[in-house]
Amino acid sequence: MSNRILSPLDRPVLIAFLIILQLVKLTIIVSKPNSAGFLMWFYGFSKYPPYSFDNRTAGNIPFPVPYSMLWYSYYWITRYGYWAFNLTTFTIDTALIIVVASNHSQFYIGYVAQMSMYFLIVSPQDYLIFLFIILGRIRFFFLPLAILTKFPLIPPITQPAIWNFILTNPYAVHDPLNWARYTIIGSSWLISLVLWSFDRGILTRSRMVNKIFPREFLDFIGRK
Amino acid sequence: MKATRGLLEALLVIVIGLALVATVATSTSSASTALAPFSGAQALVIIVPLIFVAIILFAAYRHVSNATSLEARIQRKILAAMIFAVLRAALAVSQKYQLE
Repeated sequence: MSNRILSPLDRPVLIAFLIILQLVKLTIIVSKPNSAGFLMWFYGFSKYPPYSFDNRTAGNIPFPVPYSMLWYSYYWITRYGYWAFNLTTFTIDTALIIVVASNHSQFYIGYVAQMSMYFLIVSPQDYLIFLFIILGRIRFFFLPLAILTKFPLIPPITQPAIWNFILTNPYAVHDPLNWARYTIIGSSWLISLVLWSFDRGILTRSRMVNKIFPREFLDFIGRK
Repeated sequence: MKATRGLLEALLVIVIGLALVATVATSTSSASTALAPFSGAQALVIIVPLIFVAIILFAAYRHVSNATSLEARIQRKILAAMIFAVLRAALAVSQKYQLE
């Protein structure tokens, strides 16, 4: 019964949905929907040394990339252009969806499908971090690694100009339009932590019921 | 026990999924997001996975719709609340992108 609730769709229906989802992603990638400022910033950073202020966005505004060397290693492929990067990332994303669909419930697949759509299309610079967050449910090591990847910490970089840029520039954390993106990253990180705790038995049903849903509350809901 | 644990997982992931939809639906593009604001691609990114989640929810509800145990009744109510939340989010997105 529980399996039919968590995975209610028949296997062929689920596979058809996942194929449609991947085709939609591919169609969006083929339509090249990126804004000019993003193209200039994201596909331009590989022309300069890491953390260079010569990298610019629309309006010729200096916009360095203040992420880790691990991030730079993965995203170095952007030097070969839009198609090389997007088709590589799309292939990795397809592999991720196949692995998740083979090992987890359909509810979890639905969640990963939503998140991967967002990170692949809207926020490709965070896709590697998203990948680590999903892997963090299986291996805890990836959860702190996801945080470290987002900052210029691997190897430790203490260049004051970069930290000054991170803390004071008006485009990242100080721009309210970016808060939704940070909320999504933070939420997915927390959910991976909770699910990891669940899978390891650290967070148990009885603790959840006793602390969050008292038995009387569940009885009340059942009677209504 | 397994069902409750599983349902909790479902609850968590759907709540987070909805948080994603709500936040994306109420935000516009910034200097560091890839898409131009109010583009068709932005609407697709939200709507397509939402349809997928809604269909999973409907199918799950169908499986518990006739059960009478206490656990099944709780599951039914939680699923109904989630379906309502998904439909409400879909309405908000369609209004934002004028898809209706």
